[in-house]
Amino acid sequence: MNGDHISNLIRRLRFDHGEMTQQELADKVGVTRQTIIALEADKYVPSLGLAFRIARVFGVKVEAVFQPPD
Amino acid sequence: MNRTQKSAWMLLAAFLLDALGLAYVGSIFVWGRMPPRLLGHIGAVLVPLAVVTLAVLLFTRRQSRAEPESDERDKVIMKNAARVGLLTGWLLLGLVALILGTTLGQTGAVPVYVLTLLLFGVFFFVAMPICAVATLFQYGREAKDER
Repeated sequence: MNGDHISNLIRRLRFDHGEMTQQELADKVGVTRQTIIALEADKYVPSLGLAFRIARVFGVKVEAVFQPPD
Repeated sequence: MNRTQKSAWMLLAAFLLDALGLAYVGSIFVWGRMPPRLLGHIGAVLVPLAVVTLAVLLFTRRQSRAEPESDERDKVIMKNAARVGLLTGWLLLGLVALILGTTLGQTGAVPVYVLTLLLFGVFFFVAMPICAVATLFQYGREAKDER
């Protein structure tokens, strides 16, 4: 959606956390499942608030979920 | 399908129904008489009723109780779509003004109501459907049903 190209490890983290579904993650962070799909496909760069909420669900720091471009 | 997508589909459906209605009424001016009835009295009641029922079903069905109606990404999509719709509307308006200016010349005149019709026509029949299509296009680019 924008040209920042920030990659993420959401899919891997979901599977590492008891194969959490996209819907479960979406419900926990307060977004729609489509947003999680777009995030995992690197088609959407989340707001800072959403990035923190996702990281909090997985119990890691934001940098462990989202990697900025080199 | 979230609320933004449902709204876009409903906007497109409303636009198509309006266009059909306008074409039906417009044909009276072209042919000079009433065109043959397509629906009949019962159909004229049932079709809009079916559309409203479908709209209610679409808007009340949710995948999850915790899922929000829309989120930050939907807002970005709506903003982009509105921008595309408005830009297209203004471009079309400029194009129409240019065509009118070149065909009528500097001394030519256009009735005042034409401008009103143009403004409403461009924004309701061009900008809004384009906004709806742009919304659906942006959703259509995402990955499908992954778990």
